[in-house]
Amino acid sequence: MAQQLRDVKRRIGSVESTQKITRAMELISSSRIIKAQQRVEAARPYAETMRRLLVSVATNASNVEHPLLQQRDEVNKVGHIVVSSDRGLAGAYNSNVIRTAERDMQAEGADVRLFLTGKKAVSYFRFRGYDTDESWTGFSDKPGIEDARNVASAAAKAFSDGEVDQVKLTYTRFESSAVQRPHLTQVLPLTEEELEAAEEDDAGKGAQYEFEPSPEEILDYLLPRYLESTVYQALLEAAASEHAARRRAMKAASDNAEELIEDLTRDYNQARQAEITTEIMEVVGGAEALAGNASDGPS
Amino acid sequence: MDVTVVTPESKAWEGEADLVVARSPEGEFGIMRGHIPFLAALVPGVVAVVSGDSREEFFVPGGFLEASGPADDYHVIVLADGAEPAGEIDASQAREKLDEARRRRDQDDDDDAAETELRVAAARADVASRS
Repeated sequence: MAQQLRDVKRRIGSVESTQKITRAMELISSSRIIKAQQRVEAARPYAETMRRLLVSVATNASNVEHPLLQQRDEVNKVGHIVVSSDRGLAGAYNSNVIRTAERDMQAEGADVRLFLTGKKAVSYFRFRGYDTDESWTGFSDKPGIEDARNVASAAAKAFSDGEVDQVKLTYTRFESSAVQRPHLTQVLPLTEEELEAAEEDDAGKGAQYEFEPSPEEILDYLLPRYLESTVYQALLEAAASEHAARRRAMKAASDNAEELIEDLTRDYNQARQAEITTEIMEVVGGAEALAGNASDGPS
Repeated sequence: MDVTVVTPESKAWEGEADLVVARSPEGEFGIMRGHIPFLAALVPGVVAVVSGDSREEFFVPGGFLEASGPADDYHVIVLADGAEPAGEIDASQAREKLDEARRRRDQDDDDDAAETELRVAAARADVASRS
């Protein structure tokens, strides 16, 4: 009896300390979401200007032929950039983004070359026998432009060397702090549709520029930067999504702990009451026995 | 005219100015209000933003400059790979970086990235020694 009481008490204590941890992680994630969102916002002017310039240059260049724009007739090998997190405890965040990428790999059926960021994607694909040599970790919650440059230049190099015929990017889009969705997009070769879509955004802004040096040479400088900026945006959005996913997971965990503590406390009280009742019964029983003895005694 | 200096990570500077001076592969150029629409690639060096008596200088490892717009709403956007206020560069640290970049380039003559890095480090050390 007393043993059972002690056990329940110990369990309540352990659930409470777990809850303290999950609650703390929830609060930390909440504050980081805001910072990560600010970083996404801060990077936006560059990305948008870059896109506008790319369109102006591409429409002005006489022959838009650049290694990074070259469409291949046959797609034998596809490069996949997959953006995951370094740490877990973020609910289905990593498995969603990884599954989105993997489903596309299986549907395409082409050979795959991986460019991974975040420890979770690395360990997932390594376990399944993929080559994970090209991976970058340690910055998933706070990526910098340097990190994006490393990933982008590795992918661009593989593409222009002809080792892959296409490069796709999978990351988690931060739509709002309540909604984050995995998103897969083709980044290389840059498709004409993408340029046309950008052109429509800026209808009427097609100024005739004077270029220095030539539009073709500027395109040479511009395209790798454009890719970097695309990857950087993806890393930043993924970081914001990671924090949002972790906050949600930790909130669910804290709520569950709360419920568990309530149930256990009820059990504890019941057991304690049972013990008290038993003790009273024993006292009463003992007293009655004594009273009985006294009246039966020698007169 | 409106001048904005943006890097991939943030806006480095924003405000009104009379003149922007920068350097493209073809040489130094200056932009004032009403210049015909202009788009240039930038080589490692200083971008100077001048308004009246004040002059802001940034070291830029590379990037682009775009100038366009109607005369009453003219803008210049500097799309820089990075932007460091020229006065804040530590000259001795910049020289150390230059030595290191030189060593790395010497190890491998075909390494384009090391070559670019060396050029950036040289320009940066040069800017630091001038200011």
